[in-house]
Amino acid sequence: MPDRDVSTQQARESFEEYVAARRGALLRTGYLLTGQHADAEDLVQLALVKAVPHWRRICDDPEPYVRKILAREATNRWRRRRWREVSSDVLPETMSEGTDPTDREVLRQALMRLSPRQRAVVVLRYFDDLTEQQTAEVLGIGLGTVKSHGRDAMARLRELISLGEPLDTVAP
Amino acid sequence: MSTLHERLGDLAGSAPVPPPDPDLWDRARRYHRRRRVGTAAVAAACVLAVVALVGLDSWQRNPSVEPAAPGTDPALPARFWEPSPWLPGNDGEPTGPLAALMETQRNSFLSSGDGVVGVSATTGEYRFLDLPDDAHEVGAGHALSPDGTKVAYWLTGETSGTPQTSGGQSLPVVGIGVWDAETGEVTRHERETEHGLAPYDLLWADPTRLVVRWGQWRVGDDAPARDQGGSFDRVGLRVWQFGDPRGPVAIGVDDDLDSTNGRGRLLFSGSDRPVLDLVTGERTDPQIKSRPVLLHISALSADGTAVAYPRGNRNPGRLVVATESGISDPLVDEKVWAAVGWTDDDTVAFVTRDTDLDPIPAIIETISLSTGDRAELIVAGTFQPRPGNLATDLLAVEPRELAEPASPWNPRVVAGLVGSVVLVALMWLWGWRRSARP
Repeated sequence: MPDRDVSTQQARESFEEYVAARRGALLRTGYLLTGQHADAEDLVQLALVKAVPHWRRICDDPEPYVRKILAREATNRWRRRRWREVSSDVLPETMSEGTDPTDREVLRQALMRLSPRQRAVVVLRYFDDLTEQQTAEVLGIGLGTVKSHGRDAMARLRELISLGEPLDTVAP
Repeated sequence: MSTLHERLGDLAGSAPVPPPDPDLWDRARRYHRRRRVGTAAVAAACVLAVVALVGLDSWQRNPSVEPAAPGTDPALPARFWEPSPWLPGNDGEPTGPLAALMETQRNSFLSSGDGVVGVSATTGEYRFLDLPDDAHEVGAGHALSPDGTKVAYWLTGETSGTPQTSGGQSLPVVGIGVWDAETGEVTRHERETEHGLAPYDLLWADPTRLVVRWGQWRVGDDAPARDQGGSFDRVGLRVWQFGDPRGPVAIGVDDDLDSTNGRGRLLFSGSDRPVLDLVTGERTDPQIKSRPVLLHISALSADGTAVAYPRGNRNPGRLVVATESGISDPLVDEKVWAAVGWTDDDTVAFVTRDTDLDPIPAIIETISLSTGDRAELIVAGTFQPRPGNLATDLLAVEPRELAEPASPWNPRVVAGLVGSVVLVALMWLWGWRRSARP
């Protein structure tokens, strides 16, 4: 049916425009949620793929929907994966130049020691700047759970990062 | 750099951004199509499995028992089968003449209890009889008429005082019901009773006369335990001419009823003149010198002049026939457990059981008094013929090979299997959908 073809084509174009514009931001969040570049790519791709069937409905503002999938997949699909340090023959993720690479690695290692849900709360609250209520809605959990996860995560981060480098300020 | 927000931003910014997959839209659509197809396939397989299970269960409940052709004469089946406790009931619908009754456990999805299975004399079908207000008295709670067309049973109902139920193990008996297997109608006769009737005897003397005997419990469940169990009976045997609105009428006989010959004659145990003709009121003595101690193992001939029984005080015994002229030599030397009836004036039907086998199968055989010829009549299996559970008129008819009855599966198992199939399918689907990569 012609109408449907046009609509599908428009949805595809909208999707590809969104991917081109927002994939980098999604990958950055995905990297914080998973701690590995390859996992971040998988996570973002999965979130985008899962959004495709709904794209005609969300194409006006796809970001909240995609980020909701991203966060939930990070806590559900990756829940059983333990982000623990393992011995490896290869170097850890490469670090960009210009800042202290040790500082980044310490934070990354500390994030990886949180549970997936704690990590998601930290990323959504302190990287994406969502409120506690918005974080609860994105993750599909209760407000009290967000608060307790946030409190526990921050206590854990302070403990872990103090072993490496102090976590000077927590905002907001 | 001092805040967590800034440090997270710095860490996130270190992530490389490889070029996007230009085919992502198409891959996503293929991925979702694959998931839809997979889901539909699993759902279809699941539905097929459930339908197959339900179909098999339905087939087990209703095997290939063909309806009887119009005018089919009733006959005993050539073989009795052990009834399944999961057989369906007849819902009060007429079954046609019955060959036998089998008291056995009846199970439903949520409960189990006592039940009575009727074996059709025309189709061989087995069904639980849904008899209204059946007290489910165990042992001799139901009596099949000699022609197989009526089932008498003890009725339960309200007593005027506290009933005696043995602490809830039985239902209070308040009367007698007769269910017509050809019409499905029930004729009831209820008695006033304070604590319930104590059921003693329930047998058909012939196709229209029912011989009954009951007592009255002296106390109810609320009496002290030492007082319970006693009953009194000041009337003795009563005979109910079926259809007589007066109900059972006392006949002034207080002897212990053993069996009937289905032709209006009663056989008593422990009496000098053990045979009573209900029509003439005449009592005779067939000279049973070595009387069986065990009840319900003797068979009175149609004319009331001979009694066949396994001789002695132990079972099994040697089959003999007592007449006014004396007791015969043993007709069958071994493993006769009971005489069941007479197929004609010269032929006795009796039960043998091979005790070397487990479970012990019963065979109904016949023997001619004049020639001594023996023949196997019916493979009774676990069915134990006794007075009141076999249509004895049909012993005179050649038994018929009838279809094996339904053997329904345990519905709890079926439900469990169906649930397991659905659960496994859902779990597999859930795992597959989670693990499937775009």
